[in-house]
Order: sequence, then C-alpha cells, then structure tokens
Amino acid sequence: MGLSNAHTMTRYIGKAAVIDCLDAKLNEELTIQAWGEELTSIVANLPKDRDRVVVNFQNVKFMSSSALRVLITLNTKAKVQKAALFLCGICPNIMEVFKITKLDSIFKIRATENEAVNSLLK
Amino acid sequence: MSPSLDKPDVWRFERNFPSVSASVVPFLDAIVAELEKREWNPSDVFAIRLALDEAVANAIEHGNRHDPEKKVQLCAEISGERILVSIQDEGPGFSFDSIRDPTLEENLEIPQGRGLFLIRNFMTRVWHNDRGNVIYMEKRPQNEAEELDGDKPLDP
Repeated sequence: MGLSNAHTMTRYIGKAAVIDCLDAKLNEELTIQAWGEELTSIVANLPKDRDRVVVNFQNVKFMSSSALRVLITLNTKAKVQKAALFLCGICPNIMEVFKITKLDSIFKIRATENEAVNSLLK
Repeated sequence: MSPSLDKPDVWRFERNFPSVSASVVPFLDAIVAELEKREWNPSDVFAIRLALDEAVANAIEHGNRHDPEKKVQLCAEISGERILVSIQDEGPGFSFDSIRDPTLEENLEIPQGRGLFLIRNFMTRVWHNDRGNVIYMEKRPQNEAEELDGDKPLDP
C-alpha cells in the first residue's frame, strides 16, 4: 500500500520513494497545477533517510510542455535538497518530446521502474 | 463540426472559446477522434494533439492573458491529405521570431518557453499573420510530408 493522492501514489522501495503518476493525460491546466503541487510536496517532505525519488510515468500517454515545466522545477528543487531524482516508464511519444527538447540530457531517465530503483540503490 | 457539403471527404470545424483551458479540451478531443477515424498514424495524432494544446495554451496565456471575456478562435480542416488549423487570440500580437532556443545548454533548465518550439518541430508547416495573433499549422501524414519539396505554405 502507498500514500494515495488525486494525481499521484507514493510507495517506498528501500530508500527510494516511487511516485506513480495516475493521470493518462497531463495537459489540462488545473490538473497539471494539482499534480505539480503533489510532486513538490512529496519531494519537499521526504523522510530523512529516503532522499531518492523515482517518478513513474507508465500510466501517462500524453503530456504538454506545461507538465515539462513542472518537472524542470521539481528537478531544480531536488538538486537543492540533494535528493536524487529519476524518471521512468515514459512512453515512446513522450520520450520523443524529451529528446527533441534535449531535456533527456538534464533528467536521469530509465526505461523501467526496476532500472530506476536499481540505479538509485547503487 | 461536420463534413463539407461541396467536399464530403473534408471535415471542417470552427468555434470560439472563452480563455479557459478546460473549455477547449472536448473540441481538441473531437479533432483527435476525427483523425483516428481516418486512421492517421498514432504518432502523427500525438504530434497534432500536442501542437494544438500548445497553441491554445499560448493563446490563452500570452495572447488573452487569461481574460475570460476574450475569446480564442479555433478553425480546423481535415482532408485525406492534411490537417490545417488556425488559432486566433484577441491579444496585441506576438513576435514569433523573438523566441529563444530552449535546447541551448544555458536554457535547458529554464522551465518556460518550449511550446512554440514543439509546435514547429511536430507540425509540417507553421506560420502566422503579421500582427502575430493568429498561428497557422499544417500537418501531412508522415510518409506524405517526407515527399514534399519545400513549396510555400498553403493559404488557410
């Protein structure tokens, strides 16, 4: 069982907090705002011994640049508090957006949750 | 939202929306449904939906400044060979040439400024009016677009 919110569910695997994004589409303004607030709150309130975060996008099939904006801000905040942030489960169409914008160079991205968690546990 | 009487294979749509993101979503969904009915490639449908979302968001945020009294006009035409869309806001206009390149290293961690870049990358052709408050976008199915030889944009 994990901590469930309207747009995310958080589980803990070892020292890593795994955040599942629950929406299939992240493109509507109010949804993105609420999703972003949930992500920010989870990362800001990580337990002291769990400073590693995986955001899992396996449910997400569509994402606009407003959602990218949230992730870039989250990445910056994670860096400030020295938390390691990984993204995983990104579908091919959305991955193309990361590649075109070259955001794949600033995010640590893994294909699967297992790969992301294993990277964090190394 | 109907087939044209003179060209039955052409689907046309024209509507004005208040500057509220949620109000336009059902109509963008309708455009996607028409593309899917016509069996467009799923990656093309994704690209078009993304471009529509970004253009509408720009019109609401940068054009109309979220003023619910101001409208966004969306016109779309889908035929067997292309989709053509125009999106107009009531703002003073935007300088489309003043956009920074979000892929430069110094800009990568700036949260904003990727919408127009994505539109230009995902659509076959993108242009705008002189005032800068109307954006036109055209996309042809991937295999057809590759055969184009760079001729001038078509009139909407």
